[in-house]
Amino acid sequence: MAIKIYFLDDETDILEIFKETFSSKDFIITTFNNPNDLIETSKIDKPDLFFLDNKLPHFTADIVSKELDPNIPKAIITADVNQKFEMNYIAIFGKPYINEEILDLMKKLNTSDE
Amino acid sequence: MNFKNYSFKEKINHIILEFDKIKNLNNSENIINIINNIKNMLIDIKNNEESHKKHNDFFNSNELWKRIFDNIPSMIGYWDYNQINKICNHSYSNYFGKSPANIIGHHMEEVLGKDLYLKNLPYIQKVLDGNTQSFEREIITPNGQSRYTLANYIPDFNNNKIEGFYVIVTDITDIKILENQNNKIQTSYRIIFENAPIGMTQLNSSYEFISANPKFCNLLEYSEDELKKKSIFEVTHPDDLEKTKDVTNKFIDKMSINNFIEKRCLTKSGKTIWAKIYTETFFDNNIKDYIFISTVEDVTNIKESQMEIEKIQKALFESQSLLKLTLDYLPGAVSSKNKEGKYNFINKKFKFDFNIPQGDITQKSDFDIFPKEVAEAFQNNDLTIWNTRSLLNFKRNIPNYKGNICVYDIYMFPVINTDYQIVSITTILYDITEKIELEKNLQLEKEKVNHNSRLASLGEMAAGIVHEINNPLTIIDGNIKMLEKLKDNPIQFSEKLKSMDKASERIIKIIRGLRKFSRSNYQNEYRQELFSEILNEVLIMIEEKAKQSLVQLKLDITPNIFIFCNVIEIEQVIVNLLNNAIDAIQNLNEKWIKINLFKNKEKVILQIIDSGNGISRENEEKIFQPFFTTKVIGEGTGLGLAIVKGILEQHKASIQLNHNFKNTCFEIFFPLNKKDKHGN
Repeated sequence: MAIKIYFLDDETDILEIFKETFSSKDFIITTFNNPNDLIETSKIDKPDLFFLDNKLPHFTADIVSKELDPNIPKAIITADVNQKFEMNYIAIFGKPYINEEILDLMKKLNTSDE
Repeated sequence: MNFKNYSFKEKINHIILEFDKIKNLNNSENIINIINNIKNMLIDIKNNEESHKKHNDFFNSNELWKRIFDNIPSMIGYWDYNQINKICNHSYSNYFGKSPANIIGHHMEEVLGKDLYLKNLPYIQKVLDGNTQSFEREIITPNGQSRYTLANYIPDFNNNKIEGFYVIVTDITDIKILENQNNKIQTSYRIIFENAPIGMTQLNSSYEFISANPKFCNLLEYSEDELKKKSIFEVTHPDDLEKTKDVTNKFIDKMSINNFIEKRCLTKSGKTIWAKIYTETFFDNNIKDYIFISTVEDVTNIKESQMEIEKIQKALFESQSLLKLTLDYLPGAVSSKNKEGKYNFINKKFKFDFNIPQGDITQKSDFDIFPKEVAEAFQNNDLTIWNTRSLLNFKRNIPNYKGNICVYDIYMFPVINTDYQIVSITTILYDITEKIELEKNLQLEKEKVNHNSRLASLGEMAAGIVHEINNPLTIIDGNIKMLEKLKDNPIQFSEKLKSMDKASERIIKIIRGLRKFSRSNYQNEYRQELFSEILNEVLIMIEEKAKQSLVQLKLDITPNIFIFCNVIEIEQVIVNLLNNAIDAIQNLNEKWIKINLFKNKEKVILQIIDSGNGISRENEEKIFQPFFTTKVIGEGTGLGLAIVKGILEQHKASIQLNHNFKNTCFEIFFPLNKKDKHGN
């Protein structure tokens, strides 16, 4: 069964590339460039995984995470991998990310779900 | 008295007395003694017979008496009661031209002449009354000469009856002449005394005033009568009393030698005056005592001027000494040269710096002290000053006494006298070698600090910059990986390439800006820069951050404004301010930054206004202090505004908060580029 992944980033180009790169029959990628949209949508339609950019206008990943379902795993994709985070994240990826690493994580989740 | 010295008559008398003694003696021995005495006396008379005889002859000789009578220069005569001459001497002929033969038996009027007789008649009448008369009379002699005489008429009494009178007339012409001369002298003296322009006094031998002329009286404010009750000591200043006594003691000791004293006198009102006094000593035969005649010159003004001059000379000497001391302890080497280029004066520093040996400097010139090229340069400077009278200031490398080349800051200027002539050239040399070294080091340190602060600012932006570069990198990387799949889809392929191109442009801009930003500028290049271009560069560095922070940038830039600056540093300043503004308004609802650039008559003004509410009063004074920050730990070093202020000060610019805006407004004022007098 395909897992639902929500990806939050303020760069639309990056959102587009992510979606084009990782969208497949196993992974349904929905991209958001607005944290509020992400939060509201995730309440209605819970994903299996969040990918969050850290430096967003007015928001950091931690701020957004606090509003999300704590049971849904979250990973960070950020330009600054040395940043200290309050919340727990299953992975932290630096930009530019390595596609295979992202894929591995998503596959792991998919496997565990099964 | 010795018997030998008695006259003949006296001796005879003495013998008679001795005989008288015998009558009264009983003792034969005594009688014998007296007889012997008498014998000795008679022998004496016998032995001195010739001299007695001459004496007697003399007194018995009428001829001799007649000669004496006739040759006495005074007129001697006898007139009887009827004024008929009975006897007269030859002197009458000198006065009246008549011999005694023509006078004896004649009336006095005949002899004297009517005029003279009438003049003398009152005296004649009085002497015939029995009163001795003495009077002066001028007689004109037959040869027309005027003779002054003193006539004495002496009555001749015989049994209480006046039978006639003796006349003795003495020629006192010479005395009279002397008297007249004396009178003239006295009168002249009196005139001089009364009218002299200087004070004159006469003192008696007790140093009391006999007289004082009006000038002296005015000087001391006393009347002459008041002075006559005083001595010289009573009008002398107490401090000069001893001196006065010393001098007055010499008046008689060294009579007729000038005695001079300069001393203070006291006037009646108590004022002190200085007087120069010359005194001559005279012996007055009339009063048989000394008198001291003095001239008294008021030299108060001269003395006060002298004292003033002495004070001035003393002050001058003291100021000269002070000047010399000051010059010797000045940190600069000071010298003075005359028109020939020879030294008049050098101070201690000069001697030390250039190793001048002890001795006369006045024969030395620059060629004796400095190397040839330095001396020639100074010679040219001297010539410029002599010709133009200008002050010169320049720096020159000169070897000091150790042979080390030192940098001197040199001032040379002419010294001009009251006739506007140049009399000398003064040179002051300040050794600024160390100062220059220190300044160089300071500048280096400043550059290092600036560089470090730029790096610190850079560090502060690092997170943002990493983010700003990594995002485009992610786009490029992601797109590259998809290109393979899209090679059959030219449209999408082309779109991906465009997206990658755009992303790489972003990266290039950021790198270019960073590179320029981080470059150290030890050379400190200042150039004319177009301000709008500076702002463009800044915006490249800052626009991503602003965009990320959703801060709207609004620009109102007046074109064609130039400033003279180090472009890197000014960019650093503006970046710092914009960074701060973006950070300050992060959490506000309204987020914008306005950048205004304009100028007025004197200044170029850059305003950076953000949508914040202004800086609190508490923080306003502190914000330009190093390491002050309102950001949480880790977010900023706080170096920014202190460095901003320092850089602006180097540019002769200033920064302040403008409270006329309700928002936060930083205003920077740059000097408007004007050419200075050298065309710079």
